[in-house]
Amino acid sequence: MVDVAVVGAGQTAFGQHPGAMKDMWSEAVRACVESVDGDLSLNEVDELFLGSTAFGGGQLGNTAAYLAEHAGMAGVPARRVENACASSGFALRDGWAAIASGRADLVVVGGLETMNDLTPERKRYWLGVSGDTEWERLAGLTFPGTYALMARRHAHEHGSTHDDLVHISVKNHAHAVDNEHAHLRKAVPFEKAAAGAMIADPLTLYDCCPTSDGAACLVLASADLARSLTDTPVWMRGSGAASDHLALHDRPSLTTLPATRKAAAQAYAAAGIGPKDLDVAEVHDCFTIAELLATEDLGLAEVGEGGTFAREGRGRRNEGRTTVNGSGGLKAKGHPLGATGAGQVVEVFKQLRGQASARQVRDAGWALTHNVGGSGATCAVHIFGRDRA
Amino acid sequence: MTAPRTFNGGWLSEVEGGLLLQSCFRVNGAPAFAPDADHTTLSVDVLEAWSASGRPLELAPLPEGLDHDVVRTSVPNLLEVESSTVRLHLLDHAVAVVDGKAPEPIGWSTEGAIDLDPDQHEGLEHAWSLERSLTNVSQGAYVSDRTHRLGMDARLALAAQAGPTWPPRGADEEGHDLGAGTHLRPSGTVYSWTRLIAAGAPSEFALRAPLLGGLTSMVIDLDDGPRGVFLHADGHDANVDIGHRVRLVVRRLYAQDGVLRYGRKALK
Repeated sequence: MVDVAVVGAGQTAFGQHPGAMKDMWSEAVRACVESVDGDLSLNEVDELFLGSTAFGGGQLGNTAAYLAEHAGMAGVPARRVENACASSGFALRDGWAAIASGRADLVVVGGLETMNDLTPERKRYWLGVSGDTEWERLAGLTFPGTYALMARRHAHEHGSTHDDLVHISVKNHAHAVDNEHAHLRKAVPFEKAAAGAMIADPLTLYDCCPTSDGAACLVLASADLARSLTDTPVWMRGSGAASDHLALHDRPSLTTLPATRKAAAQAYAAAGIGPKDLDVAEVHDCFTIAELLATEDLGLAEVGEGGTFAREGRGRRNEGRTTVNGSGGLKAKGHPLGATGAGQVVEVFKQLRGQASARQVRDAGWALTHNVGGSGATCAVHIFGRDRA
Repeated sequence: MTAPRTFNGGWLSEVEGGLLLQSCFRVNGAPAFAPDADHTTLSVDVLEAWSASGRPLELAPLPEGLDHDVVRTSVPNLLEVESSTVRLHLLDHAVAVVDGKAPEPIGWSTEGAIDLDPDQHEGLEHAWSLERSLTNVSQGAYVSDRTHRLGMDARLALAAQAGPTWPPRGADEEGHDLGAGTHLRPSGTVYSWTRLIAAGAPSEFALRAPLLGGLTSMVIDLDDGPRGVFLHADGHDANVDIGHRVRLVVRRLYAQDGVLRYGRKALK
């Protein structure tokens, strides 16, 4: 297989974006191209993989062609990749596979979502379309509900508490303060987060990520081409992906996401490392319980010890072995569905190149991104290293 | 008439020649349906009581005034025979299955009645009316009429495939049809639960969830094996916890494209 590197990465700020989807995407592409050290011409791109749920239906069909045209890539083979919130994580996997297989040398991977240009009524229609429509949705569940069911079961089986979840929220808000791209760039005291308004018992407002607009863009290159574009490529060392039952009730357990475990096992094996080697982990914390489960499923914490991991602050930046969601995560950086996975890679790209400014993780050499679709129906895990294999 | 006992959230009495099931809800002292109940749901309930009592489910054809498809699907052993003298009667917020004349008058119970707030009741009636209007068409997530109808046997009668597997699947890991199984018993144990505030409810419930103060959803381990997710029946005490026993009863779920859709909901 051909070694694959990330040679450019850029994004918009996540949050309330004033522009239309084509404006956001173009802004992310420009930021990405600026991050490439060498000369890059977009008309040399072999493939474009664009992750998006096309939230709101503004350009539901042929989204990729529409956006390629608006950002200097008309004519490039382009397609939309849709796997709910894991859309751009899977777009990244497709881009990696295109180069690793030798079929392409230069690939653009992106993601975007426009979530805040809809009326509240229309937004409500679209939130939750990635869950199990026929059974879960008609049993009153949207994603706050499904993750609340997981939180309650984890508390029942392992004794985790809501305070453990609050620690995750407080940590990620604190991390986001140093992130110029974060949606919620403000620290939240523990007492305030603990007293948040109830959303889906036991999850409160401070357990839930915001609905964000945003776009992120990456340039991937084959090893030979990468060296001509930068002296400091970030190497893709492992890619893993899996799917699972769409509905929670079909799964044997509510306290683990098998798709995460399978994807992580593939990625760790390919990279030849384990969780103890990770310096940076950008994990999918759409709800605080999702980060708790991710720390267990990715091997950062023992099974049932995710609550303790959170309570002891082991994921705080430059305090524990691995900084978890040093960007602020989905909780505070924001969660523009289709852009989230690519946005995680933008953070990793900066961390491994030592360009993360005030939020820089010391001596970051290994990083992981973990991107989940829905309540765990799909998951893509990628591992990145400063060094080529 | 015997003293009523609780069955599927209603009051069940033995009457001459059969069974009477009354709604236990009241508005300003007058009988009323539960927020998600009607003659169709009461009919399913009384037929389940009839069957549970060991009586044969052989009745005269169903009367007008209820959703025949829902009743027939929910009670799969029901046999409608023209010559039968056992009839289902629709009464004032009550139903009866009797061999002979309908019970008259009905002795309404008051002890243990659940009083509905009149304003809330009126609001819910209006919400159902709006929801049933053809202009109320869902966007985004959408269960088509075809999909809904194909799933009615699994949804209302808990029809499972071999295994048992439920809800139904198209193929097993070898790519084969799973084959028909049995109907699962409508009972189970709470595996997990949550109460979602109205603002977070799916759009199908947007009109009623604020009036109900949110929605309680549960993952239930069914007694026959599979696990499912269900709403709690409206109007009843929804304080549940992991390990609680529940029974699954047929209630209104929501309305779409002008049609009421029914399903099973959990009841302690």
